[in-house]
Amino acid sequence: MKQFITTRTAYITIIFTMGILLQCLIAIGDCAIQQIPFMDISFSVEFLLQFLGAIVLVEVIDYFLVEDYIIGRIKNMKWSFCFVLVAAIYFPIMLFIAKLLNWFSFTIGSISKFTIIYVGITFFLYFYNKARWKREEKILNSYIEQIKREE
Amino acid sequence: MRLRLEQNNEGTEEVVIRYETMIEKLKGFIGYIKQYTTELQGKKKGELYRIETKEIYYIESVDGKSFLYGEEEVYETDRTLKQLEKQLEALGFVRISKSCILNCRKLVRVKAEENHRMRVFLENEESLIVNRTYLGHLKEALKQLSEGR
Repeated sequence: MKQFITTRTAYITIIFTMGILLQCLIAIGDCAIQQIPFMDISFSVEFLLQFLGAIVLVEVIDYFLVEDYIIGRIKNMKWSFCFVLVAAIYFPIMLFIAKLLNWFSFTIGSISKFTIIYVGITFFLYFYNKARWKREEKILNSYIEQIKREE
Repeated sequence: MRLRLEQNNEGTEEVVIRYETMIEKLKGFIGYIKQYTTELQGKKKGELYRIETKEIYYIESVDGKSFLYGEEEVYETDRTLKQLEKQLEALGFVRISKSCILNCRKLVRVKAEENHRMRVFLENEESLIVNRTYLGHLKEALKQLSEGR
């Protein structure tokens, strides 16, 4: 139970820390998509989509890069320290992405479209992986049954 | 393969395997028997204990120290996870995360989780998470055990 909570909380912490980090970098950076003034956040559809996009984007990065590494490191750490560590590790990555968005001069519209694409890809990956994972579960359970039978 | 049981009066149990060629099935037997003959030393409340590997459910490293988890008891050991992994891999133990080694023979079932992880349930009703990096190791170990290797 303890391990379940530890891994889950770490995962959520990572995702949201990175999402917020990316939003902050975009908001305070010299970006072409500086449509979210820090003190005057309007909860428009674009904003929500962009925020969601940032979360999804970092989740994809997280999936391919360092999630396991980070979770391995932050286990048994204090959460305050965990936030600092995650932010420190992801800062260069997020900075690079923010700069990349700036170089390509993304607009609110294009960001929203990309967000929808991200969401689409994520949903596809989610269901594809879920099916694959279920197959793995079946195979492993059949091995376990075989071992128990032989013993 | 013949099975011969002999009673002796020496007061000790002994398992002798005579073979011409070491076949995979035989390796499986040996691995199973070794669980009963291999012991690890663990410390609990300052006292030293010898624990048969078949009594160990999993081994975890916390803050640089390794702990052996039995059905209910926990023992501290001086050995590192790496050393233990090497020593116990032939007995059905497998690394399932950076900080945990699992005794596959204590597994009851596995369950697919979100976020590309697998939850394994043990005989003592505890459960552990296997992350995707180590899932291949677990699969291979289970496959070998199920084939009697």
